[in-house]
This record gives sequence, structure tokens and C-alpha cells, in this order.
Amino acid sequence: MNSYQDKIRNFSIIAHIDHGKSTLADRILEKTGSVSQREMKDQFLDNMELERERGITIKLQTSRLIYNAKDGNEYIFNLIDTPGHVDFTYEVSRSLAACEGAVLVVDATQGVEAQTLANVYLALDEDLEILPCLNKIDLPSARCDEVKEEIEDVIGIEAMDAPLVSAKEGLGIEDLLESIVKNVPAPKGDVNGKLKALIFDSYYDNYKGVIIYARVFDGRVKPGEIIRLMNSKTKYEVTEVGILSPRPVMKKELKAGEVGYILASIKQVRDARVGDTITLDEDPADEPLPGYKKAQSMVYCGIYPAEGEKYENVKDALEKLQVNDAAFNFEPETSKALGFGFRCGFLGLLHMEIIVERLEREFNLAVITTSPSVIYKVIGVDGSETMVQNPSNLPDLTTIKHLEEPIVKADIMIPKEYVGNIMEICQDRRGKLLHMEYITEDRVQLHYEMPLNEVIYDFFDALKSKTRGYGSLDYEFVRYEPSKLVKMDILLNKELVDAFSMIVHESKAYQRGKFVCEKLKEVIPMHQFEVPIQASIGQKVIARATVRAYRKDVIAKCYGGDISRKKKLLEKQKEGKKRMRQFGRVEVPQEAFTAVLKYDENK
Amino acid sequence: MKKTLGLYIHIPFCERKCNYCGFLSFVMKENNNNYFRLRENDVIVGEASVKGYFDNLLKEIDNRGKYLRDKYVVDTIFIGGGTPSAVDEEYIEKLLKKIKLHYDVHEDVEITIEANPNSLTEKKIVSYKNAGINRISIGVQSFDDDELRMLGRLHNEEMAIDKINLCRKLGIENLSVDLIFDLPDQKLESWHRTLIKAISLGVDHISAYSLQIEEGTEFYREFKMGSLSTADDEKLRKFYDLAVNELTNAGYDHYEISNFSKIGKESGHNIKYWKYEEYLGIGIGASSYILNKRWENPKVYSDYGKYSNLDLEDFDMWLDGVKENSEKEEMGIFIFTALRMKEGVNLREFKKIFGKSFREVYSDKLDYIKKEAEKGNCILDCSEKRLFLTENGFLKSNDIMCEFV
Repeated sequence: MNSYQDKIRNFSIIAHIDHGKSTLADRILEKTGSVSQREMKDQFLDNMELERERGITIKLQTSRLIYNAKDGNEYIFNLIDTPGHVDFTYEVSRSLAACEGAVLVVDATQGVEAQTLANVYLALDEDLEILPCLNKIDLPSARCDEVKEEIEDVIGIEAMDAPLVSAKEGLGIEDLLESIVKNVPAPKGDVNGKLKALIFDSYYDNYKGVIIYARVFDGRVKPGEIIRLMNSKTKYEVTEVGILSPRPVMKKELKAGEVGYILASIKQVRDARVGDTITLDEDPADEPLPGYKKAQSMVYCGIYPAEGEKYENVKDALEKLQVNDAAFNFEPETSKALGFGFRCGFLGLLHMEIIVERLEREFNLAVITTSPSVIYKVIGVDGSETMVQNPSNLPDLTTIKHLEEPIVKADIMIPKEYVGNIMEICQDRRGKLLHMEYITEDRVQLHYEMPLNEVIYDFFDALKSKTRGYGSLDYEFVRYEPSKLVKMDILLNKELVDAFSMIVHESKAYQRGKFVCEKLKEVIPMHQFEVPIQASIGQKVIARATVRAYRKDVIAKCYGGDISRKKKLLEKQKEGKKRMRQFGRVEVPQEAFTAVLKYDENK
Repeated sequence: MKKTLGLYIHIPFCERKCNYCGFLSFVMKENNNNYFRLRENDVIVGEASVKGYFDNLLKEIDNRGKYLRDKYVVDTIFIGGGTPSAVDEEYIEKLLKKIKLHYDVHEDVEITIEANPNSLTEKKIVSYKNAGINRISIGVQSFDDDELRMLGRLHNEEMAIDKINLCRKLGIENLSVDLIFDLPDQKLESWHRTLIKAISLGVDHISAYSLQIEEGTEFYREFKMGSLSTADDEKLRKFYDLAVNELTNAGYDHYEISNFSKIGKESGHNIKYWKYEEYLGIGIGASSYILNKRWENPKVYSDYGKYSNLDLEDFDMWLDGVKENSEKEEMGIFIFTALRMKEGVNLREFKKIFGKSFREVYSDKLDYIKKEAEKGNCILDCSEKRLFLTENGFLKSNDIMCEFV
């Protein structure tokens, strides 16, 4: 009866960054004739410039493909792309929930990595059929047999018949497509049941409003019907439905087993949250689909207009980004050092970097980003609980009973020769080793519990750097835990610069303070007077450095009649003379705000 | 009667960027082989860019000439850089030919070119002389090979001496050398040796100035991080005193803060800067003070190209857009530039130009001047109507000058 569903295959591709997921998706699109080679930009699915540059997929894209299989039948493939980074675990899990199977791409030269594993576990949670496939087999360093064994050992799935492909060279793609037909189960929804459709992505279009990408599990949906989003409890009228091939093609309806888009005059992406269940308002389903979670920001930072940039421009841009990104939020705040700006919340550090880069590139804005911070829980002496996102908003110490910080479970996968190095880094960052396992003879997975605060600064950079890029990391929030935390302030020329304030663990304060002072010494230019840089906790200075002053006396040559330059120099010296007596404002270049966060190999 | 005008021509090319140089200059590609250590911020240009630059330079000379030839007579020309001797001498010849064609040039014009010992050749000197150049300023900086290497220079002591003698042999009658003191870890003895060497070679003019740590240079980075040290103010004084004593004893007049000359061999062009006279800067980033306006040519190459091509009317419009300094600012400039000269600020001239007396404008500074005079740093000569710095005061010049800006 449901014969149309027999010819549908809904699947995702999961892989570690760099293992060639996007290239493989391109080849599949090409092989199924969905995108002609002429109009194909490399890596069609990654459609944001930024994504192409970084080689990672941030926003999901999805495509319906037609494949003429060797059995003589025409199959509909719904390829659901997933983002490839730790910050987007929830989004990945919802994309996977929309599928019956997943193609697991493993780099034949690298083998299984932590993130691959994390995604496999997500796929297994959703009961997906997993089809391993080995990529980059054209490379001389490919070690197919070993990697197959590794997959069987580590993940516990059959891999001996895994298709061997080279997405780059277009080898083995046909085998893979046949394997999908054969191994991915067809959907089995009840087309006459009550509507249940899963939102697995949504984005904002200037002309059409929010475009929902959904997988229909049961029932059908068509224009004119009133839908209800079961978790956010909102109602909309459907204006259009269709499929993506990968360009949008309007359809009369979407029915059980199908994947497509739904338009319903929704204004903001956050109103159609990924993971929510769509049902009909008239005849609703009893229960929403499982797995829905509210977006939760894990990392916060201040974003301020740089010198000469307008506040309004930054605000407009943030609003535009927010419309398209349910996980990003912001609210106005002020800083004594930087003026008016915004406190912004992100899923993680990468998410933050992406937003900042988009502000700079797409909107052409000059912004200053302050130190990222996690959310601390402040337990007051009166028993009250407050959440603090901005270190400078920490209430007076006398009102605080104790502070709690978020702890994450971090899974780190590395080649065994780096175990010593990495354990040292983790130890240094207050990590607690839960256990360690040998995945294969020379690959190790370390399971740590660590304060998120230690992960966000430079942990990933350090991990990459200490393992020559071979280490991979996956983390998720576990709980809040009481901790001996202190607020560290930075003073320039004895004046507190609130944008540099950070909350650190007592045991790390000295080291961190020293590091920040040294970094600032590098980036703050010389003035006509000495600029002391101090890190302090309360009144106590714990580290200091000094930017040397220009010498007062010089016998200067004045070149080419450059009187204006000489005049400026004298004006500075004049100010300097005054500043010797008063407090002064020190020129702080924008790079200072990011320089204090960067991992330093030599530190 | 026409007013006089100095022309400054900027040649922004070098064979290599020196460690202390914060000037606008580009490194020429032909020299960019492994021997030359390139710096992070170096901009490398090829022969085509050099040629393109001179094309623009000639157009700018032409365009401004139309505007100025009826109003001014040019009595000094200074070809500076960068390193003017680094480029082919034909460029310099063409340049001067063009100037003579488009400007009213005085028959006794002083024409200076800056040169480095390594790129100055017999052929170039002869060519310069034939083109009318009568003064060469050589960037010697030091007669110590180790110091030269540390500065990032491409010549050594022997080469510097050879080129000075060569200029003399070929009949260059006005020869100047630049010397830098207070180099990192420099010994007083070494500075002494450099001074004696310059004197014994009989050069006519010596510019002696202390090392300045300019932002964006190799030295700046090292100095800030503490891996490079210069003398403190006390030690600086010893270097300075030594220079003043040795050079004045040898018959050089300390006529300007960092310049010494034999009688009649002062740099006519540079004096214009200190005497509030007019000059026109030609070339990328060059500064001008003319027609009561001060401006700097564009520093970005593409912008400079557009600027150099502005013709008569467009330039007029462009000039309209140049912001004028306030009167008080101009007074400050008049004073701090004049304080660089031994003869100091001419207070009569001040009143003539600004219509107000020095005393009334700077009534709040008279106490300060008195205090500095008591310390022996300056003299306010009421009969001569002059305010000038002493040898002692020259050393504190920035500190005193900045009171007036």
C-alpha cells in the first residue's frame, strides 16, 4: 500500500572534519544528475563562503536526488547534510533523527577520530543503519584493511564490505549508492495517521520568511492547513510546501516518509526551533517526537563597535544574524572601556568565531570581542541563585556564599604517542581523568571531566598544536559544580579596563595573570610614559609587566619638511607631561582583546 | 616680486629597509634575493612599478608647475627618500629636466640628492653633476662595520670612505654625511672614532642625530620587548656633548639642532623648514607648506596616482578641501621649528606674520621660559628680540617645544 515509501531512502553523511564529507556529497549530487557539472561549484552543499574556506559545514543543506539503481527501479534519495563540529551536537542529532540510515565516511589514511565516534553514537541513538565507507583511497598513505578493522573493533559494525571511494577522483561512488539502496531501510510511516513532522533545520529568507526543512513521519501536510508546533505551542498557516532538488520545487503536499520544505509566514528562525514537531492544529498528534531541546548558550562574550564603527550598524547586523540562527542571542550592555555594545551567547567557541567573522566579512563591520566567558552560578549568602554571564557583573564578594561553574565531559581521541602531552594539558586545565581506552593498538581515547571555562580559552588550539593536528575533541555539558573561582581584573596605567576582566580558578590566577600581562605588553604600543600593566584580584596585584616609554630626550632629525608629524609627536609628549601627574588613557589596539586568548606554544 | 620656493622630491625606493627606518619606502625586487633579509612589513616592488611611479612623478611636476610657475621662483631642490641613488640615474636626469622646463628655477639653485654609499657610482655622480646637482648627502650613519651591520645597512666603512673621496674627485663641492649616535650598546669611543673620521675626510656638512625608535620598525619591536637597549638620558648627553665639542672645535657651526656645517655650507633647503618658508613636496607621502596650507600627499600608491594626475582646476578644488591650521597652531609651528635653529625664534618676525606680539600670545608661558632660562636651557634676548635654545637646551628641545604646540 505504501509502495511509494519503498523507493525512498533518507540518509545523512557523517564524518570527521576534513574526512571529505562535502566532496562526497558533491559527487553524489553529480552522479544522480541533480547538479550538472557546469553549474557545480565545488562542494555544493556548503553554500556559505565562510564554510567553504574553513572546510566545515555550519548550516545544514538538504537535497532530494533521483537514482536509477541497478535493479531497474528509480529511487528517491533524501540526503540530509549535518554540520561537522562539536558546537552543533544537538543540530546533528536532529538531522540524524530525520533519517533511517547514515553513511559513515572514514578517511582511509586517518582512521576513526573522536568526532566520528561521537556522531556514530548519535546515529546509533537514533537507531540508524550505519553504512561505513572509506574515502581518500587514491592517496598512497591509504590503509584500507587496517581502517576497516579499526571500524569493526571500535564501533562494532560490519565493515569488510564497506565501499571504497575517492570522492576527489569520483571512484566507487556507484558502489556506495547501490549500498544505500540495499542497506538503508525504507521509511515506514502511516500516511493516513495524524501529522507528525520533525523540523531538522530552518533558515531565514528575505523574501519568504523562515523556510522549515522537515521530515514527515506520519500523515500529510499541504498549503492552507493550520499547523501547530508542539513544543513552542505556536500556530501558523502553511503557505507552500515543496522539495529541494537541491533547488526548491513546489509540491501539492508532503507525506509520510518524505523530506521537504514548509513555508508558513514565520518571522524568526527561533520560532521554528530545530527538533520541534509539526502537527495539524485541527487533528493533532498525541505526543511530539522525542529529543527536543531548547537552545542553550554555553559561551558568552561582549561584542562592541570598534573605533569609528556605529552602534546601530552592529545592532542591525546582530539582529539579522539572529533571525537566521536560533542558537545565537544577544542583549545590550555597556563597558567602561568600550562603551555601548552587546553581550552575546553562543553554543561554543567555534560558533562565536563564526559569528564574529560573519560580522566582519558579510557586514563589513569593525568589532571588538571581549574574553569569552561561561555562565557562572552565584550562590548568595541568602541562598539565592543568580547566573552571571559577564565577569564584570559579578556581585560584591561579601554577598557571595560560593560560585559554581559548568563542567563538561570531554572525549579526546589521539594517537598514543601524544598521551603524555595531552594528559599534561588536561591536568593543567583542571581535568579529571574518568578513564582511558585503547581504541586500537595506537589510538587512545581519553575521557575527562573538565570545567568548560578551561576548554573555551585555548584548549582546542593546544590540543591541535600538541598532536600535530591529529587530536580531536568532543564535549558536552554535565553539571554545575562549586569551585574556588576568583575575578581577575586588568589595570592599565592603574585604571581598570573592565573588558579584560575574567573569572578564573584560584589555582590558575597567577599563571593566567602573568600570561595576559605579557601578551598585553606585546601588543600595546609605546607611549610617552611608562604603562604599567597589572593583573589583580580585588586589591591584590598578582602579576605585572611594563610597556617601556619612548625616551624623553632626542636629537631628532626631521625629514622632508614633515612638520605635521613632528607636531603630533610634540603634542603627544605634551600630553605625556600632563599624564605623568594625572591618570591617563592608554591606547589599546583592538588586537589586544583577542591576543590575550590565543594559545601560545612557548608559554 | 616672486616668492621663493623649495621643492622636495620623494623617491620611495630602497635596496633594503634599514632596521631603524620608519619611512615610507618600498623594497626593489631586483635586490630581493636571499642575501637580503626581508622584513615582515616590507612592500616589494618591481621595475615596472618604479617606472610607473616616475611617470606619475613627472605628471605631478608638470601639473603643479602650471599652477606655480608664475608665482614662485625655485631656489632649492631636495631629492630625498627612500634612497634616490638606488634607482637608475636616468630617472633623476629626466626629473630635473622636467623641473627646469615647468618651473622658474633660480640660476644659483641648490640641488641636493640623498645617496647611499653602496649604490652611489662614478657613473651616477657624473650624471648627477651634469643634471645640475651640486650637493650630495650621503647616508654614512657610522664608520664602524659592526654598527653598520646592526643597523641593517648594505655598506661598510671602506665603501663609505671610497664614495666620499670619489665625490670630491669628481668635483662635488658640497658634501654632507648623515651620522647616527646612541646606537644599541654603542660605546662612546666608537662614536668618537666615527666623528673624527668624518672630520678628517673634510666633509662640508654633517647631520648628527640620535637613534629614534619608530613604530613599525625592526628596532621598535626589539626595543619594546627589551632585547635592544639604548642609552638613558644621561648617557645620551655624553654622546651629544662629544659631537658638539669635536665638531665645533673642527670648525663646524652648530647652526641647527642636528646639523653642523662649514661656513656657507648650510643646507639651504632644510633651513626653509625652520624659517617658516614655503616648500612643495612632490611624490608619494611628501609634505608641503605653501599658500598658507599644509598637506601631505597620499601615502597609498593608487591614491597617489590619482592625486598626481590632478590638473589645474582639479588641484584648485583639492586645495580647497585641505583643512587649514588655526592661527594658534601655526604660531606653535613657527616657534618649535625656529627653536631648532641656533638663532632661534625671531620675535619681530613673529609679530610681522601674526600681527600679535609673542609676549601677549604666550603670556602664560613667560614663567616657564624664565625657569628654563635659569636652568641654562634657553635665552630670551630682549634687545635682539630673540628666543633661542642653548646647546644644553637643544638636548631638552622636545620638552621645551611641546609647551608651544
